[in-house]
Amino acid sequence: MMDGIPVRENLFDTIDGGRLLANRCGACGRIYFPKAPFCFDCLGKNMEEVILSRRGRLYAYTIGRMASTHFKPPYAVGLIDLPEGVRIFAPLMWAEDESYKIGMEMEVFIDKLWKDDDKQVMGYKFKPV
Amino acid sequence: MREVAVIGIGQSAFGKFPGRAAADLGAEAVRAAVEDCGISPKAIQVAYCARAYDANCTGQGILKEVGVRNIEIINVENACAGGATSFRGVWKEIADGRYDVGIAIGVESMTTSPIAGRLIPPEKTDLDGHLGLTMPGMFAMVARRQMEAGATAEDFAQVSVKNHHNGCLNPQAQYKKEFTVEEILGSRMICDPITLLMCCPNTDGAAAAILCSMEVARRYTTQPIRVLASALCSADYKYTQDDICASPVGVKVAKMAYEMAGVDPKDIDLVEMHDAFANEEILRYEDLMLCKPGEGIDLLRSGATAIGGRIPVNPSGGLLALGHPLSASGVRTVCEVVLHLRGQAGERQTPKAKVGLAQMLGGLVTNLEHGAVAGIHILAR
Repeated sequence: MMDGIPVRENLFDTIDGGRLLANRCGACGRIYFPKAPFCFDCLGKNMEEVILSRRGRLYAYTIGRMASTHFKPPYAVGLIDLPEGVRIFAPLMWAEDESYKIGMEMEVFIDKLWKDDDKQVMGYKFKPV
Repeated sequence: MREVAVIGIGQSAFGKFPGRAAADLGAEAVRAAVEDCGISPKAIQVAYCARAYDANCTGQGILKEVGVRNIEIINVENACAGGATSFRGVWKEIADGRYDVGIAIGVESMTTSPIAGRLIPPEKTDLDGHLGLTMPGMFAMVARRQMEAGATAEDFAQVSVKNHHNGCLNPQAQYKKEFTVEEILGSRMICDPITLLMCCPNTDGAAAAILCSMEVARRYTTQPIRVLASALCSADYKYTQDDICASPVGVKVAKMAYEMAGVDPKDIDLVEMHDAFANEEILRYEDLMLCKPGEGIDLLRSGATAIGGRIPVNPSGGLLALGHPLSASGVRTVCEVVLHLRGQAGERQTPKAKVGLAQMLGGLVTNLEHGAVAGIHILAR
């Protein structure tokens, strides 16, 4: 398992290099990440777990040049469209040449995020395939 | 529903005042609004006060400085749309006939807030905020998409050039300095491609507006400014925003406002809006239907939104140059529209302005469209 605590429970596991855990409404098919307690759209209560595809396309990105809550600059973040129709906001693996391009194929991985006191916080990031 | 008028407007100094309390800034704006219309503070029956950071009975703290107590005071928070929410609250009270005179206040002391000098994150428990999302980061990703559709960083810089020029004509602006496109592009990079001079600054300040029934308004002025429309709505889930350059809630609120006012977008003589980031103003042209969808860049490049153009946008200098004390801006935008409708906007006056629109958009919440709340007021003389 992980060397640290997850940023939130029930968001991801480490199988196959990292998988994002979503759920789908059994009635209308709407998919939620993070998981929803019931369908916010049709209010259906029959929710089933969905493992999201590990690969998707970069929809947009930016390089942060000023610190955010936990990250010192420079850092890359972006929006990734997954085949299930879900758009994920995530940190991107830092690339020295800042070679990100909209539309490029990306893959999820689990990585260290930051330390809370002595505890290492773990989360999902994306990197170019 | 009764017709409501704005009779008094006031703004505090806008700038960096870490030594001044929010109550002090708010009281300066309230005193200016009271003096503007000559009403006694004792005539004020209801107050709404917006503040986003470290708020605790801010309205009471402000109004006790001007002799107002023992009335209904409601404190509100709605991110950058807080001021618009406060204005709408007072409008509803008077339109519904509950009270005849009220005051809308917005105030923010950004330099003493927990986010002073930092990029504004979403609410502190928000997942995306922890993962590195900030306001400029969000608008930087939007800018990347705009550039895919043909916009250039020079276009974004041009918005900032325009609004900084306007700020030079506004004695109350935080920054009165002209910049060139090259200087905007060459300023420090914040979130690629958004540079420092494409971001609104950290600003302390307050604004206030006194609203009343038309019957009361006629006792104080021969030229009351009428509130034709008040519209406010919160966002839908993020999956409704396939294109992050679009604002479904922004468009919805614009339609609500135009319908309520009974005016067409082409009837609007000037607009004050949320230009927290330079590229954002171009998107809002389309939400507000000042141009056809996809033609925001063309509208900017045509010069139509500059002072002297067909539809001046942010003649005050906007959030970019005038400054952006978050909760104050939604009241301050209304104040600027009122000045133009009265013909009192000095060098930046929109000629023969009859109808003006004040828009605010705010809030970043995981899994909601960005711009979690939108508010619009349309005013006329």
